[in-house]
Amino acid sequence: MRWTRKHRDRELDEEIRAHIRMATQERVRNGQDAKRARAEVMKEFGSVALAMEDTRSVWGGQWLEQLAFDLRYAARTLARAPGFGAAAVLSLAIGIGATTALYSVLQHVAWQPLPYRDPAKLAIVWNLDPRLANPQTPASYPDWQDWRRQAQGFTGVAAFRNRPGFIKASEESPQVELHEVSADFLPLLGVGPALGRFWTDDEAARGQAAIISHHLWQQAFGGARDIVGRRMVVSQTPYEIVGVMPAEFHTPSMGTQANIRLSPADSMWQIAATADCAFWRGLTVTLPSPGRSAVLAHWLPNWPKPIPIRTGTSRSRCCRWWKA
Amino acid sequence: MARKPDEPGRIELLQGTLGMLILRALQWGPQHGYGISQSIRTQSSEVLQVETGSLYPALHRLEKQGWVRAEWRQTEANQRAKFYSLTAAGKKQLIDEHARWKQMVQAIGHIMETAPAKGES
Repeated sequence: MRWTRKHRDRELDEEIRAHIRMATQERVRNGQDAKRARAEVMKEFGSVALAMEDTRSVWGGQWLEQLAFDLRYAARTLARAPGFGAAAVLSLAIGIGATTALYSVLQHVAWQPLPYRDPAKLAIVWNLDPRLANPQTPASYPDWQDWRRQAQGFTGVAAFRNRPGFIKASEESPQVELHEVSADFLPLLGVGPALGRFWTDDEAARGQAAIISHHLWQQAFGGARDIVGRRMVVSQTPYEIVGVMPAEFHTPSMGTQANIRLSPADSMWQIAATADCAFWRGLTVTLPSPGRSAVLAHWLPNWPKPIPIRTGTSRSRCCRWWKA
Repeated sequence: MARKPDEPGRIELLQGTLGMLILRALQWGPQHGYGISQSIRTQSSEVLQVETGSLYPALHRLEKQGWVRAEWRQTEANQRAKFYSLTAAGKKQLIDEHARWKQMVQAIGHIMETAPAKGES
């Protein structure tokens, strides 16, 4: 059975390669430059991974059927406890590598000790634009690269963001919170999967490995022991599940979400940073005057009052810090 | 899932017609996936564009249903490719689907091409 699936996967891979090769050769025969021909064929083809996943699902619907069964069971169970159900379904969370991970987002974690290795060193950093009614805005990709390079007292800088996604499960597509994270996000928090493993660098670069929350594992996959290595499709992107986070794991609170845009080109990120406690403690409360900007921290005892880290003229940055 | 065709004059396939078009393309003999997509494209005078993302799932679905069978063969350019051919059940399915299609075109034609009644503009 396993062999059959592997065999079929390999054949499908070869079949699609042959398609791409033939399409490219035909363009070359018609006088196109080989490199350009291949680029155009790939563009026309679209997502190879998605085409393969869709084709695979024609044959191997078993786990989808299992998932649908589990979901129906979950729905029946939840129907008996509707108050809990609404919250639980919406907070189904996955963690996906390269770029991805999902967990539940809980505002109140700001008021509780966080289940990370060294939460006292952790802050959420974002831009502050005093011209906006809601001045806290997520960082851009260049901001993230910038902060990572300059470090400015931080010992680590990782990026994450969340958005709704849909898990494909035959007729049903339950919504989950999808966290896309930089590969160093979980190491920065100092937590790892309870089951399975971290994504490898190679998987992280391709963005097709996922670590799911304990909650999602239980609710959507019935806590299946063979969860590692299974595939799932979230919002048309195929992922391989490589691990499951511990039950007590929560993601940091997102703060303001409204400004997060979804286009990859200009996507906005939340930034988690770590620094020595003395660094955060040394900051005093002064808000920037209008038209000026600052790097700001939200220290929990003062929360939600921000602490500036650095002032500038163009824009401000702001941190939230949680108590240990 | 449906991507807009990036070239003007091309239209996406009507939902549910891809299987029939594939079976039809195989009527003249075994063909590989790329050949099928090219055949649908040229036979529709470049109007119909088969999304590769839909082609392979559709081909494998037809294979699973037993309407086509697949085997690895050499192409004319002496390369290995997976060729699909019609089975007896596939031929019957093609005839059925073709009949249904003709009926539908006729029915829709009746509705769309009827001259407007008096009083309507």
